[in-house]
Amino acid sequence: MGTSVQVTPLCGVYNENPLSYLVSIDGFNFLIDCGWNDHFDPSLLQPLSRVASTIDAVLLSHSDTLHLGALPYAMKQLGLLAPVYSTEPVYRLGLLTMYDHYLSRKAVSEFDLFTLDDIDSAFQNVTRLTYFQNHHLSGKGEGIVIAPHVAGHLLGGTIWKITKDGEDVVYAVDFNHRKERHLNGTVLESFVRPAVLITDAYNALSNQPPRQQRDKEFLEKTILKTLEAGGNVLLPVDSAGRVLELILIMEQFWAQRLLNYPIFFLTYVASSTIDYVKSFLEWMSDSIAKSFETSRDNAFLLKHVTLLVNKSELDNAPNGPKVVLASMASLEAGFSHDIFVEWAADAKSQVLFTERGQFGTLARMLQADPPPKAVKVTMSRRVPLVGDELIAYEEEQKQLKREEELKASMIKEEELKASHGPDSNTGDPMVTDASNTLASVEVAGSHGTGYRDILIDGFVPPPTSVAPMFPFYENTTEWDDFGEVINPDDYVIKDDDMDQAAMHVGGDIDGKLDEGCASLILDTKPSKVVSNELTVQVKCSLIYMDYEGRSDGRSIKSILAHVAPLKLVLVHGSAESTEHLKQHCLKHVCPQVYAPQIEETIDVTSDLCAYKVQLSEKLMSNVLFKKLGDYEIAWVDAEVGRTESGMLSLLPITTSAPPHKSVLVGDLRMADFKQFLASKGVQVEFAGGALRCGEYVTLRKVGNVSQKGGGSGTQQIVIEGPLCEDYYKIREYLYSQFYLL
Amino acid sequence: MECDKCAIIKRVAIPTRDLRILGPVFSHSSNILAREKAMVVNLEFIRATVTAEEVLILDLLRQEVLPFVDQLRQQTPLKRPFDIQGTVHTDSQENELHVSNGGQWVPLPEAAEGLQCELPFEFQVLETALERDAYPVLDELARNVSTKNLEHVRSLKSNLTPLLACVQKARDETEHLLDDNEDMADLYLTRKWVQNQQAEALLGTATSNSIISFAPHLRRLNSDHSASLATGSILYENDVEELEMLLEAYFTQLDGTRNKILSVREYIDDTEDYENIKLDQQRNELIQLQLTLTIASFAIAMDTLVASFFGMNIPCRLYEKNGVFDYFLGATGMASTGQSQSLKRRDAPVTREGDQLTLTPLGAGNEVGRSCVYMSYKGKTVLFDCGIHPAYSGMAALPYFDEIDPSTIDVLLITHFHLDHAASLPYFLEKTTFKGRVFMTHATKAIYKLLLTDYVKVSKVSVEDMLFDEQDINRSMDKIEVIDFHQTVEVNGIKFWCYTAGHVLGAAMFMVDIAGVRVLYTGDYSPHQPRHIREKRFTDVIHSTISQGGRVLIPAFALGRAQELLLILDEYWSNHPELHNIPIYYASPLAKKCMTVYQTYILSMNERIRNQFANSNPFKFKHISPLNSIEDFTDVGPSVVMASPSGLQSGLSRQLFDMWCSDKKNACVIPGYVVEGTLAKTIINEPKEVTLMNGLTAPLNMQVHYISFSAHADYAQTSTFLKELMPPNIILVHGEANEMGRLKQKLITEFADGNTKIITPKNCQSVEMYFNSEKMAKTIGKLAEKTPDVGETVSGILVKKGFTYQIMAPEDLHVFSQLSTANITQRITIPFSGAFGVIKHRLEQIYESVESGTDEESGVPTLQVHERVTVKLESDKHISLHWNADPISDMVSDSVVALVLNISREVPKVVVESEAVKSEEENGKKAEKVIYALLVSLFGDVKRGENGKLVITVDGNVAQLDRQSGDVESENEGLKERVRTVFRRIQGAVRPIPLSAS
Repeated sequence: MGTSVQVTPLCGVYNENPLSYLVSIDGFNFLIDCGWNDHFDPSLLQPLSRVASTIDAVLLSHSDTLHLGALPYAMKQLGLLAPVYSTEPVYRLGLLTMYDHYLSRKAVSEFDLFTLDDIDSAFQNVTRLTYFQNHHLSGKGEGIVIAPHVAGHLLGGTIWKITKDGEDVVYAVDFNHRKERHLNGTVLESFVRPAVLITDAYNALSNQPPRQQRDKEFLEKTILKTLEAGGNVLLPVDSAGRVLELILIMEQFWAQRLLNYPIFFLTYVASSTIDYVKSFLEWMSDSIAKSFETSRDNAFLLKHVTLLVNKSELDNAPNGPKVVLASMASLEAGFSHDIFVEWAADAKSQVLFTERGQFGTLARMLQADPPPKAVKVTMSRRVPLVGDELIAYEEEQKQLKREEELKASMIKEEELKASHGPDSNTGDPMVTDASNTLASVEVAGSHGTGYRDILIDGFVPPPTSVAPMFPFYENTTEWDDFGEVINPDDYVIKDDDMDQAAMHVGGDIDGKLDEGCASLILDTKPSKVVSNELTVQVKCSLIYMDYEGRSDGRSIKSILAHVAPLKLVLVHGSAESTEHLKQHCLKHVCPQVYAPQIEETIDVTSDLCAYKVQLSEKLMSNVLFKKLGDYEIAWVDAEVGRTESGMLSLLPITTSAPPHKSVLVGDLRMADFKQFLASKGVQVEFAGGALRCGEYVTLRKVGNVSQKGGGSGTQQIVIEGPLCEDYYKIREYLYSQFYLL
Repeated sequence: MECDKCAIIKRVAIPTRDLRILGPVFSHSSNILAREKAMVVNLEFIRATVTAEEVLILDLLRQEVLPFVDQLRQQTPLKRPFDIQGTVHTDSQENELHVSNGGQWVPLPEAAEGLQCELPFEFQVLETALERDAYPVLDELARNVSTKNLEHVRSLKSNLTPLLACVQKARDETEHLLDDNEDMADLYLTRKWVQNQQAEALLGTATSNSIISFAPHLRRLNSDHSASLATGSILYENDVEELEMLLEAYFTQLDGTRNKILSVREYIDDTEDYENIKLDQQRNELIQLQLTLTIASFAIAMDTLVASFFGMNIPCRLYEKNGVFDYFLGATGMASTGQSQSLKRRDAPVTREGDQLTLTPLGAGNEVGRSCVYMSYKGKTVLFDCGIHPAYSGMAALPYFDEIDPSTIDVLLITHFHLDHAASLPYFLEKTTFKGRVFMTHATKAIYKLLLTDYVKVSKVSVEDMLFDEQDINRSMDKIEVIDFHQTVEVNGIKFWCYTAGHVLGAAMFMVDIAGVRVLYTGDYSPHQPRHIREKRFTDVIHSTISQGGRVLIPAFALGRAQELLLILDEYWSNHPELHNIPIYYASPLAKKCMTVYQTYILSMNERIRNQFANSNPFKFKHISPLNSIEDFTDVGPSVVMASPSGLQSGLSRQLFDMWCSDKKNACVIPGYVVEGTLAKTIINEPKEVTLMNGLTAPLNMQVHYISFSAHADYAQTSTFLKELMPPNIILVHGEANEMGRLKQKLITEFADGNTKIITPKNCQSVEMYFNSEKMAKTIGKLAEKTPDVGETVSGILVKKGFTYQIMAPEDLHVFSQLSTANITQRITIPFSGAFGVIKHRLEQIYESVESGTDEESGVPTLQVHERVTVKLESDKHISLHWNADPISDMVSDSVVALVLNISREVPKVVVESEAVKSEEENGKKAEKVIYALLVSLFGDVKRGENGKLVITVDGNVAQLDRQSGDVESENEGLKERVRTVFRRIQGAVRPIPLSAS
């Protein structure tokens, strides 16, 4: 029997909720994706919380919240401890996305589900893999190989292939087969007959217009028209995903048309995002890599887009029509929310959605047809504490501080007792300095200037010293015949120390953040959130255009038919589209299609029988292979024997081979065959579904041609005609298309 | 007779693959292949296809071949081959005769004859060649050692190697043949051919008096056929012995030749050793002269160093000789080479062609420069690196590409962008027949273009010496594919991925996996090194110089180390705010261009830099600015300038040196190995005066510091690296011969446990290794529902993809592969206006199973013949035939068609009703007659005995045949078996074809 495979959806089936699935392979539990929605609704994570502790590894496929948003929360609150695997861009951009969301939330609410530290620690242990890297798991997962493959959709987006004993389980959601400006299309089509394919039905019912037409509409008829009419355009976007494609589209268009309208990209992490993306060229499309190789022209060296991390900068920008790309896409919070509220009443302005809003969000509401005339929104903002509130707060803080100090001094005393001398535990002062003490001081310091050298230079007395003093080491230099004896360790420390410092800053929350947001989180000034609800008249134009970068329904179907998995599991997508795709696949892809409910475990263990045999030299020397594309095939009749090591082995047959039914191998495409015949000088034409060859002979394929996995898999071809020379000639040509075994 | 390939293929029915061994590509390996109808012989220049009837010789007009043909003619009296094609079997009497004719034994198979004359001839030639070439030269050498003679011997030796391989191959081939009776039997082409004819004739008889056109696609005859073949083998078993003896004789002869060659080689080796000793002596003297040189603890010297070294020197003829070359680099005190390949799993040698892994350095074998290593295993070919030798120009700088056929290379892997690893790539891609795929990392590709464009611009060679121009580089860019670290790529069954090598940005080590055998090609590598001592010295020197108001000059090569040093400086400046007002410049346009590449491919760098990137891009220097030329440089106060070239020969670094050298406050930091003859090398010894570019002399007052930042693994690192890997085979390349020898010795003592083999091949010297590859197949699907026990048979389709094998039932083919099966239903209408019953009657005479029925849809009467073909009466004037295409059904249908046509032509004069009974009787009689006649024709003396038995007497042996049961009684087993077989066949021929026949 094959490898045992079970799939249990934890979230995101029969609806558009975030994605999170438990895939168990021979008892090794993978959590594939760990998504959350923009509401950060903990109730969605109920199923996950029940299994979190049993998970052995987490695989992340895309860098948006729907695919990894719950990771920090699950790590902190749900007892998820497993190592995480993702590609470098998913890791980096995922981290930035989480920062952005946290900061957007924190700005308008007492957000306490997770903190920046939680995000950092959740992402700390991510193992980064490159595309096509076969990573062999060890320990409990011995024998399992995981490999990320190109998914399209988002930068670094991954299709996961999990292999055990030659059987592939492929997880492919939100893939895009189309090549885009910054991304290559997915390689899903190169997978052949995996044992299990887990895919989504999200786009099963949608259709996309051709790209050129869509781009033209998007740029000229929508954005440019609004700008020329003096209006502003707001594009609510994600933090670091699809927005990259939009930025590139606009960059190119602006450069081509020599436009002067300013474009602003406004998220809390905008400049970091672009900085990172600039070094992710390996992960982007061939054309971007090529243009860099030949002209060192980095596509993300943006000339027309201004990166902003603070809304006040936008407010300070000169008046006049402009384009603003701001997070979050759902309009639930973040800069886009604020800007929408400001601009909604302006009839000249335009809000352009490039992706379907998440269910139950403001964006989704506005995308309804017809759009609402007015919407209720909550405007919140953080205000500094004043008066009594401030005093009360300070009292509280003081109290806390006193307690801390008391604790610290006690610890210090204990340490003193334990240590035998001022430098007994070899503390290089700088090590201690950088690693544990006064982290907050460093943090604050590094924000102020943005340079980390200050914190390294900061001198702090070692905590173990009795009285503050400069560290003094007696110079007990040793000399030998060659001069001073150098202990390389003395120097190593310096480097380690620097590394540590670098890592410390690197791992620190603010190292990667932009100044604007840094001021927000580190604003030590006590503050509170003030909210008021108001109703906004929606006068601006609302437009939705699909720039989600997912394959459309038709392509999904043809890709699935091509991949032809032995078993198919459908997840994520509205009930309607899931059902639609299921019915389609049952008919055209494979007979075993599953669409499980939440927490319903389905067993997709393959019922494949297999055993291994050794092919003996003697047998192989008699086998004549015939080449057929990538394959070489031959018919073998062999006798089973045993090798010394007890393996089964195939030996040449001693008696005469039993007759076998002859097999014609080959895939006949009528169109190709037509051309072939034409090249041989035979008159051919298609007539009524059949190919008429010459005057009398007709050739037709019967049965369902598209049905690949489901049916017998054998093509039925009928050739008929009267007894004539042509008949035999055409039959001869027909035979030449096949291999007879 | 001249034929093209296709014609030959058709004529002798052998796959093209076999013919290919005759092509020029494979001409180096001897081969004798036995196929169903022909034998393919490839021995040195004799390439021929031998069938039972004829010998097709390639390159007939070649000088060497002509005598062979003559000889062949002499030994082969011209025989007319049988002409069987046109025979129309209309009469069973004729058939009788024919069978007996076909069964006659043809005296001596030509195939064996061909072999007989080829082998001795072949080795006669070899022997004469050896005698003519080798012995005189060696004799002369013994008398008088001169350069010319040495050269001659050297070439002789290199010629000997392939010759030996050739002989070895031929020997192995013969040995293999000897071991395998089956193959030998296959060589008896004539016999096989006769058997085939026999079988066909029998089939022909079976269809009695109708015209049969055999379906041409009926390649493999059915079981009937193989039965007869089997008999054939039994009958003629003793004949294999003949051939065996024949081969045995030649095998001994071959062995002798081989030994002779070996002894000649030994002789040459001895001579070589003698010369080496002499050379060593001279070298020792020279080394003594050089002893004044301080021999510091240099790490290993490699590429860039050697590159600039030779770049500066006039090409010297001496370099072409091994041994002289040694001395230069030996004196500079280098420790080791940086490259090694490891091979995992080594098993006892098995002499099968496919299991042999060949590794040939085309460059960098016992030399530094033009890295290029060719590897081939299981018909897959990989080329590692494609460099040039910086000491030579034009074609001479290339690796020995003419040793290989570029069109056969599947994959070319480039480790990093240095000239000696990548610079002949444009030439190789654009000017040779190479058509495989090329891979390098992203960063390598980006810098490769810049570096080579620069190289083309600055190299001052004449136009005809130019290997390629900028256009070629640009075109090559389109063909180069990129691979990311750790990414696994599979091309044509070759799997490979790369690891970071740490040498320069984007440098990779390639791991190649072909059918489970793994080879690691390291290229230049440098493990994560604790460079802090040097780093501290470096920064200390600079800091102290500038704090005293001095200027620091760092001459460095534009790429690689330079970036590393800038990184160190920038970091140091960041940590020392007091230095912020002191400018750092790097003055190299190439480095400036490459800066963006460094800023972009951060992910290819080490952990430390990647972590720094979390903060800000470390290659966006905050304190360092580019400098285009000396004019832009305002020399006021202290500054740090990094400038190329590294040797201070000319250019900006020299200009600055001239300006600064006389001031003792200034310092020059030489950050790496410098080559002999350059100013940089001179000033390390701190002379009192130096000559400026304008010819004047100036006092050298500036401080000169030498701090090595080599990016190559030194001995300790190499040995640690190898110890961790513990590869069973290590091949050292890319190192100057003497040093490599030392490294080898050291490694051998270190890996004294014995299992590790260390080899240091010279250029074009192949290393051959054998890996016993067990082919494993996975039986899956329906076929695997039950695991079979020993002795049971397994029949199915064997599907090979890359190096994986699967066995499956035909029905499962589409499930486990992308292949699909097809059913072709054929329907053919034939005009027929006679009675349907006639057809049935006639068919019954031929086929045992003819079932009448009616069509379910139209209700017309049908006949099912042989359970395969359905005959339907469509209308008064037409009948139609339906069947599913397969060889037997096609044949059956053809016979039905022929029969129907025959009926139409004849006037139907038989009355069907009464005929049925009568004919059965008649048929019985007729069959008896036929059997008797056939037996007489075969055995001669056949009498009717008692109980209806037939008594057959052959050479005094008597056999009794029971005509009803087919039992034979005889004391002679051979005769008994023969009679039984014959009777069975005759029975099969005269009776209607039973169902079991298919």
